[in-house]
Amino acid sequence: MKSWRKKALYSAVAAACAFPAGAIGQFEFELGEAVERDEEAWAELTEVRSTVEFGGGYVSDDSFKHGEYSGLHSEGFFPILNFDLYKREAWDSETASYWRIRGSNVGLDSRSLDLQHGNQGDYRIRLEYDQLHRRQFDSTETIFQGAGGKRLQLPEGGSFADRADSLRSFDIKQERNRFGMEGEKFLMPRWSVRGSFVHEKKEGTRVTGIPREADFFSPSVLVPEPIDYETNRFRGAVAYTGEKAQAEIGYSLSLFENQNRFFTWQDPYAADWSTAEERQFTSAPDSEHHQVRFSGGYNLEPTTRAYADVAFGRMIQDERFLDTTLTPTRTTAGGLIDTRVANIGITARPIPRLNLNASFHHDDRDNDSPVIEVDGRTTTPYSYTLNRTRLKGDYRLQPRTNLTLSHQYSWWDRTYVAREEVEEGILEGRIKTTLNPMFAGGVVLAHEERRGSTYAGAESNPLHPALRQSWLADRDRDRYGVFANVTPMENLTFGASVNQVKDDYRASELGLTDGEATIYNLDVSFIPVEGLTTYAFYNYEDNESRQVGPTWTARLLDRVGTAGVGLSTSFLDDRLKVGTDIAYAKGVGRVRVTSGAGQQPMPPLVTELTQFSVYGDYQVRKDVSVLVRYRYEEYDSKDWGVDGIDPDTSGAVITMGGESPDYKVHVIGASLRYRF
Amino acid sequence: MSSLRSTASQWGLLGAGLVLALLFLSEGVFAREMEKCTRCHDETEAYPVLNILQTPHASQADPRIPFGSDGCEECHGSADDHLRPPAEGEKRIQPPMVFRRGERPPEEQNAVCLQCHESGDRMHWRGSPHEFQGLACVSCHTIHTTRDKVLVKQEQPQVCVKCHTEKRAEMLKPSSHPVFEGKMACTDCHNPHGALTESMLVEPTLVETCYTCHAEKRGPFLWEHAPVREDCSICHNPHGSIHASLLNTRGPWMCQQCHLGSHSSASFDRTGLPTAPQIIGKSCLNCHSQVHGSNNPAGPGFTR
Repeated sequence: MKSWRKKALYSAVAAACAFPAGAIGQFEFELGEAVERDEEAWAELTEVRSTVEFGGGYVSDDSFKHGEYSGLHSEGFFPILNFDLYKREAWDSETASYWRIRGSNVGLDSRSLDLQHGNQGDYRIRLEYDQLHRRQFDSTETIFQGAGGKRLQLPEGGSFADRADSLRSFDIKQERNRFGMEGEKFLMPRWSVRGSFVHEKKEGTRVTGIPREADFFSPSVLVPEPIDYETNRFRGAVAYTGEKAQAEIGYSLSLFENQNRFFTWQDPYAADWSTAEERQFTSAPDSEHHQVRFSGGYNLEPTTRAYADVAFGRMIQDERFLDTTLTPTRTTAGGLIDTRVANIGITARPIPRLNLNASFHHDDRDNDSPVIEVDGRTTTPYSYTLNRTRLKGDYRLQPRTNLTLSHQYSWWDRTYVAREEVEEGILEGRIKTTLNPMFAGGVVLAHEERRGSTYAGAESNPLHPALRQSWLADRDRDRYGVFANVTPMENLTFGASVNQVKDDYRASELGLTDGEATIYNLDVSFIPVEGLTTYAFYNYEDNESRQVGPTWTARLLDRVGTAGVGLSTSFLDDRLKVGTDIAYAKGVGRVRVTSGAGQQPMPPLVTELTQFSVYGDYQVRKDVSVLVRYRYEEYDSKDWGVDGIDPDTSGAVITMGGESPDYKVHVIGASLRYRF
Repeated sequence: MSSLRSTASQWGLLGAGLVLALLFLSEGVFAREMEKCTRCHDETEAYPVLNILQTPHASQADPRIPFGSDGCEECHGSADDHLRPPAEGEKRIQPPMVFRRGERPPEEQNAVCLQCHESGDRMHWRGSPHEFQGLACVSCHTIHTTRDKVLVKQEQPQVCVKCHTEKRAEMLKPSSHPVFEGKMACTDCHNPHGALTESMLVEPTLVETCYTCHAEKRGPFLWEHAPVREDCSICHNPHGSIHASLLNTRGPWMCQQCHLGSHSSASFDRTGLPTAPQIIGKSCLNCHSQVHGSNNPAGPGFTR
């Protein structure tokens, strides 16, 4: 090769190699000298990690209310076990497979497990298990033997007069165990199919009231009704994801099965319990619900989208009636309700300052169950149709000021109710402004009117034809709200709002006549120094309503105040994180009844909750942390419907006794978290 | 001689083009696209930028994810101006898209996310109440993490109550669903991305949403209670109440809002304590326990 040719070739190769090098060199020039990568820190940030936390804790006192859902209901030690096992292929790997197993509260009966696996963009599967224990009452008693089972029997040889001597403690609690699985397969490039199955079993007992006789006022008894429900839910759907259109169509089936179709109980009002009549009580019937649902959206223009969500369903219940002395014209209810729900609409931004939305909602419950006659009484298979239109517009008046106006009009057609046609209009306006980076605020105003066809007062209630059932009655409702967010400094934010709702049941002489609810809210977030975050909140809710009976008036007042403060910070280069939270909530419910005998207010219903918690998380090594938690909770409540009322206090109802909960519980826990 | 130089230049250009083409066709250039950002936004950044590489958003093997071809610029826009050294005394120009409150308008921020996420549960974002409120996706979501709080059942409510402060107060009431206990999430009932249903419920109607967990209330029953079939919230507040069973008002006054019958129209006050069966224990439900519907021929009064 001649020298000039060699030179040319070498220079070409050199130039080719130099071009990208030059480009990189340009970055170096612009971005500064390249620094050596801290590979350990890089890996820490770019590779997923797993964690396992284990340890133990101690609960100072028994309390069902404290551990109602958390599992921390009994005095003593409890294990702490949480984990998050995560494996994902590196971001630049040729596959995107992953699996993740998470467990929380594994050592308690509020445990949950979640397993996810998939190959991103190809498929995913998920298995889930969740246990939910609800401890409702731990100071209840019953006269029945066999509580918790399907046959509630009275003690041999006892009698109604002996009921106080026949009590035995029985806790009311329920447990739900839910197992779920779901999967999705992506059919490239735009389609996917997915399916899920959930099995849930609920067992335990609940308090159920049963009158001695069904049809007229008679003494009653509260019994522990056995619960053994199973619900299975299946869902399958096909989804399409296009650039302009997205849609999904699916089918779902819910099967409810009650393992206790009925339970039996003996009449405790019998003079001699040995010969007390044993009766059956019907529990919830098996049922099923099928539904086909389509949901989709289409971008007509980049700023205009049409959408729809349509569901057709059928609810079926055909459980055979219990044997009875009555003579219904069928042996099953033949319960069948066809449901049709449609939501269609369009949303658009015709100009950048204007956002518009128009929609139509249709909800039809067509009860096709047969009308059944039972010894002169006929069933009322209630149906309704609701139609609703809604228009909403949001206009940017100024660069930082928006005005939102909406109008909604609804009309109902119902059967077997005192008022078959009802219509309601709602007009709402809202203005929100951000005057400057320090202040944002606004006002909301709304007016609602509900009217309807002639109210069949005398027909529905010959005794008191002036009664207007509150959910059907004429009503004017006004809503007002003001809100503000103030940020005087970058590290300090105040949020405040006041919202009020006023109801006037203008045509109701009897029943609910008016109501007013006001909610005040204040939130503060403050970061005094970098790394120290603090917050505080206060909420006060004042609900008042008035209702009128034939000879009386009742004013109901519920007032609830809630407040909280907290902070979190870190020390030692973020190796030690500490924080604390305090919350307080007090609710007082009052009922003031005025009648011919003057005012006889009920004693106040009081609930008072105080929570204090503090936590610390110290990173001993990069992969090992020690966590310490302490929590104090105090609860005090007074309920005149329960307190001091023993099962034998009233001659007309045998209660299960019990006391409204009061407790002071300390919980401490320490655990080690290993990260790998 | 000049012709020789010209030929050499042409060879050089051709070679450079070939190498560039090879680089663009290989995966190596993709990495450099990202590295052009991580040269500065590296492991020393206070904000964990690099954590994005742990997340599904960075996966190169997923053909739906544009991170492999465009790196950070896929979401943050072209960094050309940002890479240019600022003039003395001036700040460096921001990338076109910074996902932060007060930077770009929410609809512009969201448009980036919707390029890939306008499907499934997010299909009805546009026109949704949260969109009208001017929320951005990053108002709730954290992208550069494997543990986005709002996607963790136990932590999600803390994100929602930052705005829905009144719900926090309601859920601290003595009767409430186990949301703060981490056993339910707000998204079990609501779709915050927008649903065409009332209150953005996940099921077509409120009652069907409630039946998801309370299927025993579904029926249809032989004896139906009309308001129960239509709207659970007539009697219950699902977010919390100071009255048992999430009731809006305590019995018997709750029931007396609609029922003033032969024995239910009486005045109930403290003179009835502690024995009157209409006010102690479960009040009206001492007898009418099947208030959600009865399937017993003897139960028109919901007593069986």
